[in-house]
Amino acid sequence: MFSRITNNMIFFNALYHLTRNGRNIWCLQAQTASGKRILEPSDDPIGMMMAIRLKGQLERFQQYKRNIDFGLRWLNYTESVLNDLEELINKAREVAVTQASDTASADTREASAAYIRGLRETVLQLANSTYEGRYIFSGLSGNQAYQDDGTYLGDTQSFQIAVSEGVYVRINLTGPEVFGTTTNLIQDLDRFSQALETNDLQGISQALDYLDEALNRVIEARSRVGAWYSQLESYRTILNDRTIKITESLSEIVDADLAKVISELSSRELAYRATLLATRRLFDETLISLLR
Amino acid sequence: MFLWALEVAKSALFAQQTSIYVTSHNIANVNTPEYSRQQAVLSTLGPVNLPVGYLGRGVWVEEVRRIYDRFLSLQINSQQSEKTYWETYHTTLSFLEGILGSSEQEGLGTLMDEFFNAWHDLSLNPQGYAERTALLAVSDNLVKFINYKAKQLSSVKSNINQEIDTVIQDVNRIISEIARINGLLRRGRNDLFDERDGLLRELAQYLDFTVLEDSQGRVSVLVGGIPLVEGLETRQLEMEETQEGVKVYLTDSGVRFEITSFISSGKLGALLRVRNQIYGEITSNLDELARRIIYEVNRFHSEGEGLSRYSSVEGVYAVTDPDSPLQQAGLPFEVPQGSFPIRIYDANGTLIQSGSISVDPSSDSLNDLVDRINNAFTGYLQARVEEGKLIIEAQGTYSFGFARGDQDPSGILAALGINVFFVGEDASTMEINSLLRDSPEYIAASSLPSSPGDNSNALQIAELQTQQVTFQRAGASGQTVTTFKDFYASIVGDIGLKSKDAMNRFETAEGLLQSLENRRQEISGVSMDEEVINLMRLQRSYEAATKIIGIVDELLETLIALR
Repeated sequence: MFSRITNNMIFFNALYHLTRNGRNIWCLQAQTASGKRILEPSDDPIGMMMAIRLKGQLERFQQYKRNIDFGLRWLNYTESVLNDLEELINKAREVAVTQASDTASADTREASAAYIRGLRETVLQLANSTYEGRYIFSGLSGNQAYQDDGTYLGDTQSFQIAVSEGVYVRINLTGPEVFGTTTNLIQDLDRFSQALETNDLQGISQALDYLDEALNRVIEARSRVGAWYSQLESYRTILNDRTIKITESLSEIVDADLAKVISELSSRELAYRATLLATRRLFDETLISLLR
Repeated sequence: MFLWALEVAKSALFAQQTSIYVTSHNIANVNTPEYSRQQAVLSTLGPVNLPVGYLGRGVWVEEVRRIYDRFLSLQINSQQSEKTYWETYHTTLSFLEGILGSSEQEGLGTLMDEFFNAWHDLSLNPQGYAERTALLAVSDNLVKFINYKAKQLSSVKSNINQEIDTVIQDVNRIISEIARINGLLRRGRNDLFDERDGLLRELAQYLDFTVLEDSQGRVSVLVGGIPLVEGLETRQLEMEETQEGVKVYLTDSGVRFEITSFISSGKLGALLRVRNQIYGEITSNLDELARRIIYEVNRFHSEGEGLSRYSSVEGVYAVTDPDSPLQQAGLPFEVPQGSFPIRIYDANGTLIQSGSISVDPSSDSLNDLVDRINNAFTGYLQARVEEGKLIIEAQGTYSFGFARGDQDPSGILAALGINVFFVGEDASTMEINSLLRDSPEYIAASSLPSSPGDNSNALQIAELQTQQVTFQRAGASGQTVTTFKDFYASIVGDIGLKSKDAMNRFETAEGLLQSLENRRQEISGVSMDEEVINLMRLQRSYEAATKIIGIVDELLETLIALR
């Protein structure tokens, strides 16, 4: 307590408390207006650091989701190509079955040779399928996958995409994996059409064997694509869950609790008004005004 | 006897008049800062010895006293220094805080995310031209932002320098004023003492000092034991900008004393601390962040391949002496020990030869490296040094690349600046390699030879954002191992913590100063009520004294009428 109260004390004290209250109100108003609890790092340095980290994580998750979506589109496309391929092989197989039977003649065989040559061209086209300008069966070579004569131009390397921190999922099938290693489907179909042309019955029944093999290969390839697809989907679910959780904690750190801020603001305003009122009273009531 | 009474009454009139004068001076100065209220000290005039005994001779004003507490005043000064210190420190830090990304939307953090995400996008389509252009655009944003921050920081530096200069000029003005007043001071010149105290208070806003006062009331002002003011003499402050920061000197008859370290408080103390310590910490941390991004990205990029192969390549970092070991050759990044790959392709782009060049930076010079390349790839490559930079050229229709395969990158090519993504060595010099800007096909998304569809290099660069990297951290203890993002967050957090702390300290200092100021006003301040009551009292005694004169006059008249 003070023994003497002087004019300047009253004045400075009022000024000091008004400034402090004013500063508080200013801060609270900025929070209400922006809806953010942290406007500058010094508002909550630790919170700010966490916010930067969490924001980075969110950005990364968005990117991983983008990667996964790309992978899913790619696999969808691969799947549809494999589906077409399976149909073609089945058609070729039917030809092999009918033309291997006794009811078939040299004439029917020669006629179906043209059909098989047509199928072979379609298979070549499928083998050189592109997705967004890229040959999906040529590995990492960046080349066309198969030459017109059926020679493989690609390599056997796998193309992986990042789906989570340090987790990579392969999404490509190389030519040999789909069309065969030692001889490939294109060359097989060449042999088959030749056998039909030359009425080579043994060749035709052999074709049945390697078309079965080709069919098995494609079915296996399709199941691999399916497995990768579901792997990507499960990562996507995980990422979605984590995105929601992190968005929640980010909001907890960064966003202002408006109800709290506003109630604090009104109590501060009350204090501010009370200080103003008290100050006015003190300046009004002096000895001089009483003596007047 | 009556005449004595008249004399006494006269002294009373004079004394009350003086007191009224002092009271009105107090009332007049109620709002004058630094004013200390004054008081007329009345005392009795010594008695005369008369046959009837000792009789008092009335009253006189012994002195007009200045009501003031010297100790309190010293405390206020040092608290004033403390308050302005934290105030200035906080304001200056707020500037730096604003520069380093207060708003989370456009901060460096977001740009780093976008940069690494662009590498992810490239990894989805390694041969894509659009992805490459997008990556370059995003990298450009990142680089420009870092450059801009470096520039902003350096403009804050020159602002602080200017501020220090202004403060020092004002300090010099104040100390000259103090010395001038020292020459005028006499006991009883109350208002001059107030003015002097005001100047000391003003000086205390700028720096902390010791005050010595002699019996006449003259002061000496000392900083670190060296007097700024001594009687009528002054020593002027000077500043000088050096490599380590701004230094403050006192000059006395041609001899300079450095007093930077003694100025630890007040506005000048805060400015010097921010300029000489905090500014350096922040810039070197930002530089370190830029350096690490440059090197780590280059480490992978330089040992990968793009869609095109080189017919000629030039290093971006120059050695000072091509014959001295690489360790001491003045390269901005340390050359690690190890070996780097070179792949030779024929005109059709078919890989025809692979080899690796080993480097021992403690013994091998750049010229040794040139010989080694020329020997290993005779007929294919021709290497040489030009202006300290390594140049490799393919001969004939051959071309070459640096795909490392499945191995970890050695970092040698990154240190020499060959096949790099970024050039430069700190926040202000960081740039994108202009070769890539013109020919994005050289962006090395692949780490395998002759596999343009490979995305493994792009993936590894994208994953750098979560990798632990070793940083040389300024202001803290040596090395920190953390991610780019966390290092950035810690720079921002660190300055935020400092700024928050400064604000808290400022509020404490402000509160303390306020209570000391209240204490001072309690003692020295003018109270209107008190003065008005005093005035009433003096008015009454003045009236009483005139009454005495009237009565004595009547008595004398009675006496004279007797005849």
